[in-house]
Amino acid sequence: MTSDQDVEVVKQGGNQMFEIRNLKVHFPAQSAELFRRRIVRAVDGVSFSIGHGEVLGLVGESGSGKTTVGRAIARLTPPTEGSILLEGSDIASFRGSELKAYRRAVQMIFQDPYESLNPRLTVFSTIAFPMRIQGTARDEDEMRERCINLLTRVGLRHADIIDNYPHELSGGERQRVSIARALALHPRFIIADEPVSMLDISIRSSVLNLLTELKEQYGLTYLLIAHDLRVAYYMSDRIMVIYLGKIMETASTENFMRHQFHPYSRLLFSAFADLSSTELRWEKWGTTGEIPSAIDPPRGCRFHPRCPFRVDRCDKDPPPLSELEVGHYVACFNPQ
Amino acid sequence: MRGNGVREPGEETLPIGPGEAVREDRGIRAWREIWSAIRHDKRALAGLCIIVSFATIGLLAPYVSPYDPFALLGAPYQPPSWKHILGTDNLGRDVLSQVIWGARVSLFVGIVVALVVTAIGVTVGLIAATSHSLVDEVLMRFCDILIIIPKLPLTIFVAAMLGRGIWNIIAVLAAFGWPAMARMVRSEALSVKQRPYVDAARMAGASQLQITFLIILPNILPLVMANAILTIISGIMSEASLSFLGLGDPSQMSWGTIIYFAQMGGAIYNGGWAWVTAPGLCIALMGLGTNFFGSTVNVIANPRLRRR
Amino acid sequence: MNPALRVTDLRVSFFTRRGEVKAVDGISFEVGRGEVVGLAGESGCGKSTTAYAILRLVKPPGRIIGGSIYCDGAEVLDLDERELRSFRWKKVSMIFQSAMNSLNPVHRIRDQIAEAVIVHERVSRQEALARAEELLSLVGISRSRATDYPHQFSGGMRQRAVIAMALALSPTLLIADEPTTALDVVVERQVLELLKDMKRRFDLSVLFITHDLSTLAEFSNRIAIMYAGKLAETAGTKQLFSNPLHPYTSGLVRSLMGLAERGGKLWSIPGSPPDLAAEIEGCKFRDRCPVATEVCSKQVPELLEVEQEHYVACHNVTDR
Repeated sequence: MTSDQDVEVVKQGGNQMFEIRNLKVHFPAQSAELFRRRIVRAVDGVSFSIGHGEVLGLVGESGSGKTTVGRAIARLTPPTEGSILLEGSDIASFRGSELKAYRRAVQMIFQDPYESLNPRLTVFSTIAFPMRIQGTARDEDEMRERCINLLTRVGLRHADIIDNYPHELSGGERQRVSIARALALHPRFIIADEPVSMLDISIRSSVLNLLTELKEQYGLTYLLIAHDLRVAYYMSDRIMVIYLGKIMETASTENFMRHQFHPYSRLLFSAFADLSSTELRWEKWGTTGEIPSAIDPPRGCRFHPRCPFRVDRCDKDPPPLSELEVGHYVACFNPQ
Repeated sequence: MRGNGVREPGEETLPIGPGEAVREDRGIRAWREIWSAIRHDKRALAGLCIIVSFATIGLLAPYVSPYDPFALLGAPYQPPSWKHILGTDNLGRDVLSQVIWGARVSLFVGIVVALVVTAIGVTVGLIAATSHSLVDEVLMRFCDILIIIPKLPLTIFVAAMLGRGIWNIIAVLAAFGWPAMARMVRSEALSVKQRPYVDAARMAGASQLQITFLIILPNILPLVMANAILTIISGIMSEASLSFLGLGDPSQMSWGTIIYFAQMGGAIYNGGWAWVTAPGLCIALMGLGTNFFGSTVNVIANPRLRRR
Repeated sequence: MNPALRVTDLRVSFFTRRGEVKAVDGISFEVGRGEVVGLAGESGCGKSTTAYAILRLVKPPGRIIGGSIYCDGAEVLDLDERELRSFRWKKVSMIFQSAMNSLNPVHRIRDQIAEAVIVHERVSRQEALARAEELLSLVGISRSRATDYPHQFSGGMRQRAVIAMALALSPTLLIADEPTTALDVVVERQVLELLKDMKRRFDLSVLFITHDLSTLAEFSNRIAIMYAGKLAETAGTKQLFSNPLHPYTSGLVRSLMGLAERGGKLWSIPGSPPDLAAEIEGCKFRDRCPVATEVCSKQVPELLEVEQEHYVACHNVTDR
């Protein structure tokens, strides 16, 4: 299909840390009928790459498949088709010590600060857990010392909380503990799945600041998954918009914020009164409905039922990703 | 840094003040919190007292019981007196002694059944929750079959086949008791499996086995313990039912067998009211105690609900 | 003109084993007729408790221990059970943060709304159903979907259904408790636009509770900032954003993300909100305040009018 074209088109040239080729992740769905198998096409042919030291912002609404992409890279959810390459090697082939090394190199921060910490473990045990599993510390004392350092690094007063349980901490504190845990194995790549969307607005900035500092200090590469363009804008070098399992647009952050070609990108952009110019005001769009389920996605371009700019072709063939500006790719038959 | 203020109106769990700089032994701290939780919950304390009382009586039966429960001491159907606080049965045996020894036997049955049911149920439930869906299906259908079969007729049949013995009863009760525990463990385990902290453990490189035992098991412990305690009382009551129907072990004086003998001996017609009501009351009290105490089990095993 | 709501010196405490937690410690504000007042603050500052108190939904161990809530001609704290029933939903109704807190999963959406109408007014079932359908179409839910169950709705649709239910009896005052917090930004925008539309149509007075100041920027007429159970500042929306006087407010305003921050550091308020059970002398914000002085740790600052309709509780501002 158009996937091969996508792969060619998105290559950024050399020095790629991750290369994702035609990734598809399908799940069986609960079906009312006894014998009809229905499939949720959460991710349906996604290709892109992530460079060393880059922050790629993957933006989309709930149900767009963005979290599933993250989970596939994290090897939490196996892909149905396609491949994920880390510096040239297919991660699906990793076993034993290779897999262990992968687990050290790739870590994840989860969305829900209340559910991402084991309620039965103290802060110390939570951060020490990866070290125990991987055997990266010599003894209890070293583990404790490393925990203290990590907690301090993420901006927490270790003495106050190191032996506390998660329910004794606030949301922002828990998220910082999650970050400390993710750093415990000295990873190179972090998948941040909506790291601040469940935190109070006033706390978000401090956590985002922390993530940026850590990136600088440890030379990390991030996949930042977000539904809020503002968050993606602040932290990312490149932005990639995903809708119903397919990429709609991708470009450097500057280029994207200056001009979005894809109507869906514009929809996301216009959701913010403060970001949009008068031309793109929400009122002009009216209520354009909501993202449908990924079980029977619309034919042709996935967005066409909601799109005010659709043309004849849009409900027949899925548009390929084409480069409209340098480094700026759009999958649309009628880009604006 | 300290915790936030109240999260939602009326929520019981609250943050604590500044943490202690001293690194207290975690084990001791956990027990202190547990004791504190129990101490403050009057119902749980009452429940604990009842259970401990019966357990003590049962344990010390040889020393506390005034007479040998099987000894024929004299006049049958004597009303309660200072010599025989609950009177005597139709053979002249002291009822109080029977009840005291009955505690021992009934509790023994209840506890052993609970232990076996928990062991099998947790194992099967965890296997079902963490294995391939085919294994899960097979195990669960098997559980369903065991749950659907009418227990009493089958128990009578099996008991008749195996003969009347205390271990046979325990075996039968355990064999029918574990599927319910397995189902419950499986559904709790499945729910825990979905939580992001399990994903985080996988990201750390934990194997399926490590996840099952280090993470899932501790997190389902509260429910398992609560259920185990309920199984004790249901074991006691099931044993009583079986004994009452004549399937019990006559050589062991359990509360159930006492009621059986009382019924066989026509206690009600002969004025042996203490003989009939005393064991029944004990069973009821034990059930109450278990119930009351069960409400704290959640607090014990779930750090979230403890107070510091 | 009578305000739709006047809260005076409201105090709500939770009596727990750890002691008295002063969730709401003496706050006073008003919501005028047809006005939208935003009540903003971090998690745990007491704003939700305030909302629950207005509807007398505070559950033990919480208790309203003082103050007055005057709403549409009645003193809410004095109402008896019967009066309370006709007060709730008819005079004041509420939208909760999670739609599933209001929707019964085993009843169809349309039926739930119709039930609410029947319970409070003497109408026939036909009329109630018709009214329900009408309300649902107002919020953008078609007739064909009105007979669905809540689980068949998406998050945004559920929230819209909840709004329809809250408006079923045309209340005077609508309390919205973090109605968009759990929603995606696109859906959040849709719901906000819907609320604006409903406010116009029903001529509502709204008390909008949130931790996100940016949603208040375009929706509310006035904003009250709450911190640790007390009011830090209240002012008209434009005034608050252009001239925030309380250090906490300016911290909140600065931490909102706009386009200017890319590449630099985002502003954030250091520290965490305090433990409400602990006795803290003086201003509760002083530990995190960049301009705290001696007097701040001794005396609790009073909420005083500094400009026209602009109140601040801060020694630095008022002791000049």
